[in-house]
Amino acid sequence: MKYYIYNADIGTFEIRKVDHFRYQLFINEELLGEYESAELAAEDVATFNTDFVEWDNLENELENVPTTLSQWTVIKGDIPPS
Amino acid sequence: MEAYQYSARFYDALLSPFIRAIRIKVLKLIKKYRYSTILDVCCGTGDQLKLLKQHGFDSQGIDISDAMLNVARKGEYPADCFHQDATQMQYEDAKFDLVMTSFALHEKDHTTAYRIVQEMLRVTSNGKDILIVDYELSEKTSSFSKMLIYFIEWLAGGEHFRNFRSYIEKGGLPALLAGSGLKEVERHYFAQYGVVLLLLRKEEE
Repeated sequence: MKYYIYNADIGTFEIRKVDHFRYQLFINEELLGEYESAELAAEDVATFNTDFVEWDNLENELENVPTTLSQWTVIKGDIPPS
Repeated sequence: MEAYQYSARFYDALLSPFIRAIRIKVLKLIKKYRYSTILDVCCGTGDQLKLLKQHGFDSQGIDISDAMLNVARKGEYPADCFHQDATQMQYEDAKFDLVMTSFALHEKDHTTAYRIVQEMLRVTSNGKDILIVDYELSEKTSSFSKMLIYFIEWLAGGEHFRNFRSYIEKGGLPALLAGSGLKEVERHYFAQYGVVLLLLRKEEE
């Protein structure tokens, strides 16, 4: 199974594929939402629309936030237990 | 007597603090997907429409309660809303980019709720979206949230509470949406998994 991670200062975002056309966005194991595509989930992180207040409040304060999914780290293999 | 004749005046003051996060999420989704024609079905006091207007979005709502509509038409950002039966909307097919409804389906009997969903489908453009916010009680819902939701619905009383219980027993939104052909685009949870926001797409024919 492939999944995506982005290590931010406040924690690690993960996008996990649940099944076809269903991806879940997490931060530190907290589910933030489910999406039709991994790109839509990554967009919410890039635009600070995750509903994770600590992250969303950092809008306009951070640089080098991945603007597209291609800038996330791809991990292949099972998701490690938390 | 109309169901919301007395409660309409203090409805927002009572419930707004609890559902503010949901209203803001809806606003964010509308910005994200850049909808231009927006309809709020069973808009109630127009709380969502007013927030959208405040942020520069044109949107309109319908409701069958004149008491609710009177509240919706007041305030700094009065909502553009009309008296209409959501099961028989006076709009042509495929008129809107986004058709939404919040906390309305659970309080209707199953047949009425189903007819509202079908009407929402009819007035949504092909390839465009339907947004539904309502209760979804599952094993993930916290006990506190379940208890609070049942208490709120019990307070609403009578037919409202009976319909809520029937909505839960019949399987909630999945039962209402079965066979609709809608494709899920996004899903977000609120109130400790007691409330779900579904963004669904009407596939191109």
